[in-house]
Amino acid sequence: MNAESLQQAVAELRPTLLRIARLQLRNDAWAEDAVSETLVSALEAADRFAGQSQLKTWVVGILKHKIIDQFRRGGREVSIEAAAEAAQVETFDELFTQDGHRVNEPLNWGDPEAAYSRVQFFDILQMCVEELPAALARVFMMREWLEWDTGQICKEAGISATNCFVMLHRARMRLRECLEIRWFARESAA
Amino acid sequence: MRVRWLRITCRQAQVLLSEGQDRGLGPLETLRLRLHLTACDWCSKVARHFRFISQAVRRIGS
Repeated sequence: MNAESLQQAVAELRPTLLRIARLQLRNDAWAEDAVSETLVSALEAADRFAGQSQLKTWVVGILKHKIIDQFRRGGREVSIEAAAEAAQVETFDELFTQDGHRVNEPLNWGDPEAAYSRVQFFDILQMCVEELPAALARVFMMREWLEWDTGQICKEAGISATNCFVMLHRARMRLRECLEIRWFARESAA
Repeated sequence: MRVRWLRITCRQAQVLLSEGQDRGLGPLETLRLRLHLTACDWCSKVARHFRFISQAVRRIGS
């Protein structure tokens, strides 16, 4: 790939990068900054792109670092929002009987990995993450997308380990319900 | 009856399923969860769903 076509290909990734950055940062201005910095870094380091991985994978790797930088710049705001979200009580009472057993049987998702080959599945997954409260989504994405351990999340988000576990549980419960309704129930009905 | 203290509800099991993805569960927590899962198909499904969600999110952007 010559320099010009690489520049073009990197620029074409902008909408995808912006959606990922918004999903993680939940702040449009921060996301714009992280993506702009990513594109500049990718173009500056273009001679180091050996073509051994997909261009998108390489650029998303750079984006991860820029998102982490952005979290650190916005640390105080991230901490305040995370603390406020951690104080919310969510019992999922609608899912359980008074004695703690489930009200409804979860659907059988069959072979869920088959969804990986469907672009629409990732649209639904991202929509479900977008519907999470901002602080919950940030903590969840720190854990699952940035693959941070909970100690690192506690430090960056300024929350206790207990609050972190509670928030991750709430995010997973909400995402499970969302994916079941928006994807797996529709797939099994089709 | 002797093992009643080992029993947990689906609500408790689903908290442990989530926390088990983020920290090492203690031996008693692990035993309680395993016993619950052997008897509860519903929570076994939720366990698979949580694992799948984790794997799927890691694929975003790849």
